[in-house]
Amino acid sequence: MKSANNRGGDLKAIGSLDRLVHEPARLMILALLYVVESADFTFLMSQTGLTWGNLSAHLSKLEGGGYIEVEKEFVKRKPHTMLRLTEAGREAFRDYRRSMATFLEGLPD
Amino acid sequence: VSENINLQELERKAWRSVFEDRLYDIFLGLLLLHMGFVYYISKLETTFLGRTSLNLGIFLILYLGLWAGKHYITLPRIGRVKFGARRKSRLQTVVIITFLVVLLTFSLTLVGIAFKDQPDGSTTWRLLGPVLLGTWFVLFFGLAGYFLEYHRLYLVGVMYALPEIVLTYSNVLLGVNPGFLAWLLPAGVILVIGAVHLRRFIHQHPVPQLPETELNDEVR
Repeated sequence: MKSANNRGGDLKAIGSLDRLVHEPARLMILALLYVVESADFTFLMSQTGLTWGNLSAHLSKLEGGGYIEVEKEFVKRKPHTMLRLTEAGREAFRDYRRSMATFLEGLPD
Repeated sequence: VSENINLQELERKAWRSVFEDRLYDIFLGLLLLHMGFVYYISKLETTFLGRTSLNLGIFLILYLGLWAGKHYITLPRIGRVKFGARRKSRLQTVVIITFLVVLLTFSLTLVGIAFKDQPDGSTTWRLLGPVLLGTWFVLFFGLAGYFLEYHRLYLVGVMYALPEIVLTYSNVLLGVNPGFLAWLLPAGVILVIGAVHLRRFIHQHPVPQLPETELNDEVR
């Protein structure tokens, strides 16, 4: 995502926020995957409270955007899928945090 | 997003969720009970090999129970997660501490066996031994609890410290032998707390209804 700058008081800069990250459910997923190495579908469901369908749809979008990757591993000879943030996803999340902090900084109560 | 997302706290919450089932507490409580059994098994008229096999057998059954609990209760409910470098390094520290503790305990046991027939030291050692052993447990579980951020281990350490102290001092000071109760009560505290939390965990985390057995393929 392009880094947004609000120093000039330009509200239009908010429009440059990464919409793929900005959606609350996806933000939850990204924040969680940002702090762990990888997690499976059930863990993401239990931590975010999202339903299977919802989570699946958001993960597809994030995978499509190149923000998460799926890794297949074998647990007791059964295939098991873990999800992890890609470097692009990590960078996008960091950018988003910086941008939001800049936008909201100094707002009157 | 009106609330500040504290990423450190988020990671900590994810980490703690792994222990939320309290199966480790229950395992440690049962292990403490086993230590009480060991006391009685040591008095059985069997060979050293027989006693060791019995102890090892009980330990393996308990460990199998822990594995089964994690596999059939916890994983279907909260899933799998791998943590980052910081957690892995802390886990390694605990493994090293455990290894050192086992090594030192073994060495001290050998020293104790070597000096047990010394006439002067026997009473002092009898009174001091349980306190040292208790301190040992508190220190070990305290360090493990600190590095794992699994603070319930502090209580576990205290409960592990109690039996030998209670057994020895009630014998010496009161002339009473509490026997197996010395293990049963502290282990009971750990087990009851663990069981209550396990029950709560099962109620709070029902097994999610998933469309397919290998549901994660849907993510592709």
